[in-house]
Amino acid sequence: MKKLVSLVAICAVLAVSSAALAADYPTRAITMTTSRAGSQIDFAARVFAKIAHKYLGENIIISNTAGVVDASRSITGAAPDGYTLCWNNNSIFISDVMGRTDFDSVEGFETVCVPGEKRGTWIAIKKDLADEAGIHTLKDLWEYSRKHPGDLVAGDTPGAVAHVEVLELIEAGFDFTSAAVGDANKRLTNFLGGNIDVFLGAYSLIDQYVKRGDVVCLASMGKERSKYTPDIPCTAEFGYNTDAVVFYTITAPKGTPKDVLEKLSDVCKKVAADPEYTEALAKNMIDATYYDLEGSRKYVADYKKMLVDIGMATK
Amino acid sequence: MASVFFSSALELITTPSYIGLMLCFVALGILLGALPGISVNMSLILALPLTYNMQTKTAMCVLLACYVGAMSGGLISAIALNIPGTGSSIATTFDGHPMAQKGQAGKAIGVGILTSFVGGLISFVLLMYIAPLIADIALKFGPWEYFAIGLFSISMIVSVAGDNVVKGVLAALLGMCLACTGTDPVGAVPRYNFGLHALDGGIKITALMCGMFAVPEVIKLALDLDDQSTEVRQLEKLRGFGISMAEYLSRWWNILRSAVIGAYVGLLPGVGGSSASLLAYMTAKNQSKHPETFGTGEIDGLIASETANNACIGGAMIPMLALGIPGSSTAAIVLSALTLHGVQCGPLAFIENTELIYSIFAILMIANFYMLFIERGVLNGYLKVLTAPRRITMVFVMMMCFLGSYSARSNFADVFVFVIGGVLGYFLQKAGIMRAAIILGYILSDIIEDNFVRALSISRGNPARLLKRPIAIAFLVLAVLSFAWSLYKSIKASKRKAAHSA
Repeated sequence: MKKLVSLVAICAVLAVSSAALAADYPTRAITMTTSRAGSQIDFAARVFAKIAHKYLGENIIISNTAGVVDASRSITGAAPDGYTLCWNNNSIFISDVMGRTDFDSVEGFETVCVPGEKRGTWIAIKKDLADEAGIHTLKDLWEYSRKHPGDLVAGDTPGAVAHVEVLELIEAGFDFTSAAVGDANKRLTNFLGGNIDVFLGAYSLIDQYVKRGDVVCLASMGKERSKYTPDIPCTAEFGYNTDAVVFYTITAPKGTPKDVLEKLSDVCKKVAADPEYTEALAKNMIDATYYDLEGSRKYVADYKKMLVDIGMATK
Repeated sequence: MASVFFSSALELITTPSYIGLMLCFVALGILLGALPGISVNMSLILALPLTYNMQTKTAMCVLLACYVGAMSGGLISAIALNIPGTGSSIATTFDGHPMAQKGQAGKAIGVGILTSFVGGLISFVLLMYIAPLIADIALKFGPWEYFAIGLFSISMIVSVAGDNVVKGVLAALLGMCLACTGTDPVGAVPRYNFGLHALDGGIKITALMCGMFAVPEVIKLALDLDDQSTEVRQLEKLRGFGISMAEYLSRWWNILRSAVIGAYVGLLPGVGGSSASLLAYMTAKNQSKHPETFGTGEIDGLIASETANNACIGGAMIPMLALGIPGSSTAAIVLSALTLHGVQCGPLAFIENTELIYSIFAILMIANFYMLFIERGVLNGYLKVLTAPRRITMVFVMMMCFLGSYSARSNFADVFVFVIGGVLGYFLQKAGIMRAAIILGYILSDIIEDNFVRALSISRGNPARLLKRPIAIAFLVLAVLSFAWSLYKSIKASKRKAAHSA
């Protein structure tokens, strides 16, 4: 009897203390896994961690892994207590749809927030090519590519957003050869070195080259002009229905208590409104965004559905 | 322009906060570089969060001081423990450790420090004066060129892996196979993971390297607990850097050549310190009048390796600053810190951000000097630590390796790789297969395979494009010649052995 009473008492204390812990969340540093160090995702995660510290009261420690899939996978087995989170980007959904993950990227996690979006990928060619082939607008590029099918090589990154973008352009009728060149830095190197003809990527990478006149930027991919480059037309103006978006997600392990998620969501809201955050991201042409718990969940679910609809699924 | 540099430099050496910060982080970098299990990249990643709330210039002080320190710190454990502290110090173990075993540990480390400093100095001077001019060379190297350089490097490994060509090739190929685990370069499909998702990211180099070098030492120690014959000793007290200026400068050609090789390899995005020091070492051996002494404690080998890996720093910074493309994975981390502070690197950076760029040059130069003094300063203390019984120091080393293997990717599979790779390394060493060759094969595998696939992807599967690339063809020819030469030497050596035993 005594043993039973003490057992019940212990359980009660534990239950109360865990509830108390949740109310005081966070009481210690939080670990947020993300992709490789030095990558754009890592940069964004660290900016977030720095600013969120103000509102959270505790540090967020960034833990780098080998890539987007590893970043998400490493939290699948973690305790759902809100002390392990993952900062990832939409490549994880692409990887999932293409059958490269052993978990469900949407249903396997609690989506906390979508804290940033990068709208727009810019399409550029070298000035030499533009002069030689008489390509002054995106339409000229389209015509040239159809007159010389497969001649123009566009660089992409296998299994990532860049790959989706190149496929979208090919779908829209551009007769490119898609070359699996590698990440953004490799695409830039090969583009500048003349190994690939068409560059798709962040404007910040080619900004200085455009200013110097070596590179011509033909368009940004999207439904409307990017507010960062208002002088550059968007693909919609030429009649191509292509959109390019990279967005970030903050996820927690499945089963994380609702109040912890709400607390995190609240912090995200404050961070998104913080000018330090918005400015740091804006310098890299990333928009700070906030979607609440329900909105975020719907956002990622819709995105994954879109990927399946455009035929990316290979499962 | 010089005035901007000098005024930046003056500010850095007269402001107490900059002095303190740089001294602190050079020291930290040296410590982290010396610890097996923590690579140069890891050291910078650890320092990165501290730079958030700093001014850009201060952030650069921290990161670049750490970079210079860590790159040089790797030589300490490479020489004293035969465990390379970083990938760039693998070639340092070839002659550094034998020197230590002969009782010249202090001299080896002293020379290593001095020559690291000189290598860095030469590359920073190159960086300052001709960065924008030579940055474009980085662009001339496309996938075919990297593929050819990769093959050439493999042929060089084979030539250094001893007299037996078969074992050399075996080692290099084994390393390449180990690197194939992970995702393939085209479709990002996991392969060779034996169904274990933990291996989807591949076998991590830090875990493998620590395992193959550290664990055999521990196994050997465990089997021979009382054997003192391989203790590292310093017979006399070290004066200066252990080498007279005259003797050091008499090797000026080796030093200059290694520095240029290091800077050049650093310049190429995608190849870094490990390849730089290896190529410099190979070249030094092949051009030496007495190549057979390499591997037994030849100072020229040590000089070649350490000069090159520090020269790599300046080289890697060239395309980073002038083109916005990092020349090595470590430079990528520095670049991301700059991006975080809103600094754009690229051809216009020298005009738009002149003050910062010249500050970066000044920081590198000053950190180099601090590295020289700090590392030499703690040398005597460090040698005293080495005289502690190995069975105590090795426990600490193993601990660091376990931690380092895990922390690289927060993946427990890496710890298993460390242990299993270690046991494997012990038996391979017994079989006379050079572990460094395996590790270097591993590092080069990515360069070779990724670039081959990339090259074919760009030319739509048509290999004929290769014929239009003279640089790539030149390296391929060199690779064939180098391999043929190794084969010839190997046959000669076995004939000689047969003749002697007859």
